[in-house]
Amino acid sequence: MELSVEELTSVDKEITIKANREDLSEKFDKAYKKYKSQIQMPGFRPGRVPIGLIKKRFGKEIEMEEINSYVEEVYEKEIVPEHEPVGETQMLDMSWENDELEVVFKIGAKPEFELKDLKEIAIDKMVHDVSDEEVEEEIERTLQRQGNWEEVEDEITEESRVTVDAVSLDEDGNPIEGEKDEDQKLDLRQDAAADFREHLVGHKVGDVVEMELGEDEEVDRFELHVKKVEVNHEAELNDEFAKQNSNGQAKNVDEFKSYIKSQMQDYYDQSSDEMFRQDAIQAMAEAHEFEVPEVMLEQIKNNFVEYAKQQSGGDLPPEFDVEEYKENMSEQAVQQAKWGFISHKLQEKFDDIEIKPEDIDEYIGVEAAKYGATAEQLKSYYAQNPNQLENLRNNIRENKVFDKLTEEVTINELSKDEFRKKREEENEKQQIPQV
Amino acid sequence: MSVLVQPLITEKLTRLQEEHQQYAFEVDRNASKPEIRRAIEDKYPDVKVARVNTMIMPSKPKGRYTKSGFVQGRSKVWKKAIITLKEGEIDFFAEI
Repeated sequence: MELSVEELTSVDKEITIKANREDLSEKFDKAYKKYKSQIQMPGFRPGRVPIGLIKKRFGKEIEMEEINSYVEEVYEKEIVPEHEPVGETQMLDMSWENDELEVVFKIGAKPEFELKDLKEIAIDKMVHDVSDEEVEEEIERTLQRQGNWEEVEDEITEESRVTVDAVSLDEDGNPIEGEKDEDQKLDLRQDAAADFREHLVGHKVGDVVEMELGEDEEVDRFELHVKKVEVNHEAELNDEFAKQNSNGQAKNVDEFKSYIKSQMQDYYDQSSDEMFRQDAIQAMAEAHEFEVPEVMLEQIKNNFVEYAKQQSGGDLPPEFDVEEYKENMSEQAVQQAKWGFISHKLQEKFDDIEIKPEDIDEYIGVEAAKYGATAEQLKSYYAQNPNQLENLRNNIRENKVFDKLTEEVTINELSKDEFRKKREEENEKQQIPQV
Repeated sequence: MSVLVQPLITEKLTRLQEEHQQYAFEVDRNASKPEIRRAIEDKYPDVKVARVNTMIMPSKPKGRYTKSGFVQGRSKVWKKAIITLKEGEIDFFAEI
């Protein structure tokens, strides 16, 4: 047997295994002996079929099977300990001709890099304290949302909600049959309804308004038949309202205000944490320059596709272009792969991380709340699925690494507005089209 | 109708093959020994036949149990030929 390694890049390697019948004959003989006792053939007592006959009849299949197991063995025993492949190893070619076996693997090697000084890495973090004005605004919005709609005979104003039937028109202004949207509710206070607001204000129930949407060549013309006009009566802010809208946690208006405030603060903190995490991963990936094995990228991209599949309910829509999608995701894939290696390095650096039982309890508690199950149910689930348990440990370890990382890196605390401004500037710089 | 119906492969016949270069076939009921010899030498050009022995395998009663009771029948009568080769050998599996 011969092993030859060709380095494609610093992290991509092509390994060729060459072997001939002599290397394999021991395995073959063993397999034939094994099958001899198993094969049942008419005309022969079990175990009495001559090996020559087995070779002639089932030789190809048996040898192919043995070759596969041989290749697997070589991979596990020779390649894995020496090259430590990462990602999914690809088998590029395998041939068994004229008693010569040739197998070509493509493997990814662990990239070599040094961790940067974490203090030099600066990451923005949004810090925002919810102000009383914001609370007032939020309460105002809630009041409007919870208000009652009353049907009126008056003219439509900018504050109204209108129910219309929309009939599409062709170029000559005649209604197109079958293209009718009935009972469409338009809340004219919303920004999305700005076009409608312009045309509808001033009209009454029973009026027919003709309008166009879109620009230049792509114009949709249609008629709106006004069926109902309603105005909103804001709900009253009182103790009863407070109780209803806080799941009974606030007993009066003052408590309701602080309830809303804490909810908003939680929301901001959470999204700020999430964004920080994203930014940190990005910053770490950008700060460390190294190549990522191709096989690993391919694996991550495949995972993305799997995820997209799950998102759309098991099957991809027919117009979905897998290759294009992979192309679009390649930057993200690189980032994720890099983060994988960096996080590994970090784990080595912070080797004092320990997972204690109470960490697991805490994590399970959070998970349970997320899925609406009890902690006990989740625990028994993990007890039954040891693989998942390993995942769980990895997640906890990663969280801990992240906590450590947060302590080490330089954090730029920015207010909400500053943060947003900076984001926009960055986006402009990169010229990423906003979708 | 061809003279040779199918080769026979059993434990006993494999032993005969190895020890005496004898091969067995199921052959047509009415085929004569010279016909069988010709057929063999046509089909396997590399061999020379030394001797052909034939035998008529007798019919035997056969039966099996089904839902509607015991079904009785008999196995067919057929002719077996054992061919001893002077030279060459036959590989039954080359054809497959």
